[in-house]
Amino acid sequence: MPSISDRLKSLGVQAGADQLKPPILTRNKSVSKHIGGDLRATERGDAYVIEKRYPVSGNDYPAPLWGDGSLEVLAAWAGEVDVAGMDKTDFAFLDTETTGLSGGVGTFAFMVGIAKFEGDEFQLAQFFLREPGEEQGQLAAIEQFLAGAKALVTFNGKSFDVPVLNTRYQLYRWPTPLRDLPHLDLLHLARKLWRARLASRRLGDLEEEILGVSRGAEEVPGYLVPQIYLDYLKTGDAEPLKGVIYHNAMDVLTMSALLTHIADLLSDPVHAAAHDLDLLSIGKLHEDLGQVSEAQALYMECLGRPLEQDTWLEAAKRLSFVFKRQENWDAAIKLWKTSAGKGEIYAHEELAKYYEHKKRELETARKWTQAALDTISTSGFPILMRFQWQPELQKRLLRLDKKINSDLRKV
Amino acid sequence: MSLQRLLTFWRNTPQIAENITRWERVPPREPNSVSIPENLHPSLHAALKSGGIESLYSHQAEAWERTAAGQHAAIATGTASGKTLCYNLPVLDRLVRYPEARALYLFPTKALAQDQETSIRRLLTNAPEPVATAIYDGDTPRGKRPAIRENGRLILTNPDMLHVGVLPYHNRWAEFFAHLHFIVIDEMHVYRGVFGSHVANVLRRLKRIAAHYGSAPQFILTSATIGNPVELAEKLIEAPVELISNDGSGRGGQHFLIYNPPIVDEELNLRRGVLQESVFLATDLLNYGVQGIIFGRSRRMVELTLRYLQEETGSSAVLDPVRSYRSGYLPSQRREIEKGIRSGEVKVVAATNALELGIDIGGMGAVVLAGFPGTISGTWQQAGRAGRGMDESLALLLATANPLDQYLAQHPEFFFSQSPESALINPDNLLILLDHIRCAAFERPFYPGEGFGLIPGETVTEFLEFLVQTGALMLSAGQYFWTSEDAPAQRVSLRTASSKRIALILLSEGVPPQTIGEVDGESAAWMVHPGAIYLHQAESYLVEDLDLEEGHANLIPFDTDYYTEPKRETEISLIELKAEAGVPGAQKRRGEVLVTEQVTGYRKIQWGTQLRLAEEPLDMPPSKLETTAYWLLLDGDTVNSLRESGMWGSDPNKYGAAWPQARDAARARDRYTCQSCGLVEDGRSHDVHHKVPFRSFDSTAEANRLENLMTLCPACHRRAETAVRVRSGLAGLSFVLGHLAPLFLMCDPSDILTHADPKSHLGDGQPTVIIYERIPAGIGFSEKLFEIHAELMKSAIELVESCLCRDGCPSCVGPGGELGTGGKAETAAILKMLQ
Repeated sequence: MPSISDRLKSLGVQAGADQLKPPILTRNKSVSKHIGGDLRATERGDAYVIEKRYPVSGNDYPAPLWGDGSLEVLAAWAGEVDVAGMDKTDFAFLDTETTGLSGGVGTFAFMVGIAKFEGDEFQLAQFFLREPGEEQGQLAAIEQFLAGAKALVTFNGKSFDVPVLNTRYQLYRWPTPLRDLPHLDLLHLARKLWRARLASRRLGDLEEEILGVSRGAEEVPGYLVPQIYLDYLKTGDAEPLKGVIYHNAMDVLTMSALLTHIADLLSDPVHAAAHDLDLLSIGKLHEDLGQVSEAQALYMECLGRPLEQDTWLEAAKRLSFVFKRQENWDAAIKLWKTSAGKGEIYAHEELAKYYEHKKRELETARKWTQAALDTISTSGFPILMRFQWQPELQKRLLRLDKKINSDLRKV
Repeated sequence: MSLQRLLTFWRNTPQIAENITRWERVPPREPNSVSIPENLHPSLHAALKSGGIESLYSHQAEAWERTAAGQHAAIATGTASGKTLCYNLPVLDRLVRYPEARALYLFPTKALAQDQETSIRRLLTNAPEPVATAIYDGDTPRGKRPAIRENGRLILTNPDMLHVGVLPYHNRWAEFFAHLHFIVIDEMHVYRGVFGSHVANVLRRLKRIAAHYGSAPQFILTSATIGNPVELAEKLIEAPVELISNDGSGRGGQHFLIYNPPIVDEELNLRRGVLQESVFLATDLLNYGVQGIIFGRSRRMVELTLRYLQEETGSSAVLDPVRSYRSGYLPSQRREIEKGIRSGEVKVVAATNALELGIDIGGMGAVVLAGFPGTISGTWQQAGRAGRGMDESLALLLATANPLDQYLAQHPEFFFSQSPESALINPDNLLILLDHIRCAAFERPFYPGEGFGLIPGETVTEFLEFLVQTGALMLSAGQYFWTSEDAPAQRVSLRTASSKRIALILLSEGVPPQTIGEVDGESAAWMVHPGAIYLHQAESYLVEDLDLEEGHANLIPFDTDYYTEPKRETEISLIELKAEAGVPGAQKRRGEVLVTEQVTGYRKIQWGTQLRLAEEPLDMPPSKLETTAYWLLLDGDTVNSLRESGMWGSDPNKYGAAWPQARDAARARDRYTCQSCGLVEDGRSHDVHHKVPFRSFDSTAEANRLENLMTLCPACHRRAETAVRVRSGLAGLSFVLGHLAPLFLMCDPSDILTHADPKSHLGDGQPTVIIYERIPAGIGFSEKLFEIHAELMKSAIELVESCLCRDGCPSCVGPGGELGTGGKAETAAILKMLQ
């Protein structure tokens, strides 16, 4: 009876060349030689940890790792009020490198980089699996390391890093140490702040565009990371992992720098914002948080700057609705009239509403409605917008005509 | 009663009555009712009552008792016997009583899950606490999935989703798996052949994960009438099951009629087409107010039926009493048609077997099977769609010209004596098993010695070590870890067909492009090739272009008087010969082959007259299948001795009134010279030979076209006919082997294909029969056939010799070969030499 392996091969299953398993000793030697690191004992076995310390000031990273900006707005945005009062030493910055990007239980984190501030140092620990069987030790060591942390900072951690790690803990049926920590996922905030300005909100691009950091030659792109590790498992050669270690360390450093940058930006946007568009985004952020007066101030600041017309109009629109809610009609009408003059249909409509319901000047309301209809009928007007507005405006015009007629009859 | 009046009309109308070869009345069965169990939760009791159910059928009560005793149960009772209540009562009772308990329902199709969800909700209306019930399949919006995973207590899904969307992410279902009490597998007879073998392995993975979270769920399976419900259920779940098959439901009597369309051309033995005939009979259903389904055997048939029926009845409005139903319609269209059927607005629906599975449309007055569905089990399943309560119903099987149908029309007793077929699976097939061990290893590391289902630990370890060798796994700290970048489940399709779909986009002036349906990637080349007329809801569309890479075909509305028929060519070439051995009379071989199928053109055929209007060439990319095959090439000696034995009597064909003229014209054209050896006529007229045999033509005139004729001297003519006979025997051999092989392989007949070639590359130019696997890379069937060659030949000769037919029939050597006729004696002769 041929072996199963032979039968599978005869059915055409590709087995590849019989792999010579690298001796564990050789492999471990290669790891210490190329990426350094030490063993740390846990009750679940040894964990392999690579530690690095960066002084908070005077390190090589080109942007500040911490500053004195307030965390209040950030905390409010994340829905984690406690974060506002936290000290830098309360945060853990976390980034994982995994064996695949598709998710699922068979994907594990062969490297988990976590950093904390200790005194004047930014301490990074990279929990590395020299082989998959060390995972229990790794997870236990991560738990130990996170023991003092009060909040988690990640980039896309809500959808990727945290679920991946939770899955690992679940697999061994341990409670996950990540579940109850307040979590600031900077990707979501970055999307909110820089959607209009930057084409890409990937961490590497933000790092370059916002923080002015460029990575060194060791950097490997994220999509290559899984294969580099899987190759290492087969060959036992840890040299190519150097790039991965660097990549992971940079990701973690950038998280801290980005958090610092955002905190500064949100604490004093008028002075800290590098771009007028950011002011508008921060205004919107405040509006979302129900902080109307902050939003109003930022919108007004925007209007005072030499903006592109689209940005100006958007700020004006936002501000006009703030005024409308405050029933500050004069201010609102002024913005609407200017905007209407620049072709904004909503502004026509608001004016028509105002004159119809507030002032009961039906003829004026009719005039604005007709003007809107004229505007959308001009040939250059986007056709989809025309379809969107037309029925509403026509209904309004009809109703106004009816009202005007019945008023006339009453006279 | 309208049905009675219709039947009386048919009985008294000779043009109809004389075509009915069998009129069987299946007697009514009184329901065997028992009271609703006392210990059923009061809320379910109340829900049953408010739904008008005051008692249970005996098999429903039996299911209740068996499952209460903790046994796995397989319920195999007739169509519409209330099988769903057999599992809904015990499962819902558990869910209502134990707020922790969860249950999983598996349906073979998404449509069935939808259908069941509604009836489950109805049963739960009175539940004291709501039981979160949800469908979790490919159509479930991403945003809704997390809540369903966390809160869902009764999840309805399908094996494919379980395989690719649930098990690889089982951690998200931790609570669900930890408290999984029941798994229901509805319509388990669908899980046969390759699909069933995959599903059995998905269930092994499911049980493994449930065990990981500490649960050992109880199974309830249901099945249509098949030959081996217990065997199938036990193979699927790998545990003993209790069979519940004493059908306690009542049903009205059913008239089961077999109808053979009348002969319209005696000379050519041509019968009226099943299409025209089913339209003709369906018109009677409409006239007598009998609601009915016409089951067509292909999507095309269904569309044609609808179209003819609409023409016949002059109806075409959207709110139409005549509709069609098949796969490829959008879910919303299907729902709308189902609703129309239930409400009675739709009187006649032309459908494929998409409507055969338990879609809830209520009972019909009549079911017309336009052609034998292929299995006895399938026939009863479709016939079971007729019958509303205790009313009488009608099932009518219309025989097509296909020899299998003709055989059945002439031997109707076959139906009433033969037991239904068995559903066969082989979960331990090496390659399928390997796929699922990969998936399972991804889902949780194996430890050395761990088994997989009933596969012992040692064997699993051999697989694991093989996977270590391929680099997919790594043994580390006593566990086999998945060390590959890809998620294995995404690469394993449970259904052999590829998951590629081609969207059908309607381009119509003044309207944005609109998707009106889809076809699967494999069918696209012949269904929606450029120039094809595609029928959808009886509207005809012209396919403008087909983009296989992007996955869409553009259609424009096209009113025309023709339809199209693709021309397909199959070619098999050798990749690698794996083994060969001499056997009596032949050589057996096996190896890897490349099967190339190409649509090379299409014919335009006029509606009604069936006239060929034109033939257009097509340049379509060939579809390629790399698979394994087993083949048999006849020795030169075998062929020669068959040639010499001259055992065939040449029945003269009736070549029609114009034959003498055609014959003379051919001789004159060929200058009275044999076109093979050059012999000139001397005293006796030479023969005139049909290059393509006479019998393969629809019309005499076509067969007798001058281009199809050649002048041969008698000696050469005999040789030419011999070649045809050898072919015919070869075709017969191919047919017998193709039909017998699945029995030995325990697979679905559609998992393998056969090909007979009188001059095959694979057989060094010798006459060859090839059996190849339909799944890419094969799954080891050819290896097995090679092994059991002698056994296969032995049973083949037994089958042919014991068959009572005179010159071949569908149950032995099959319909006449492509060339030549009959073939039983020739097949038997070949088989004798192969023993």
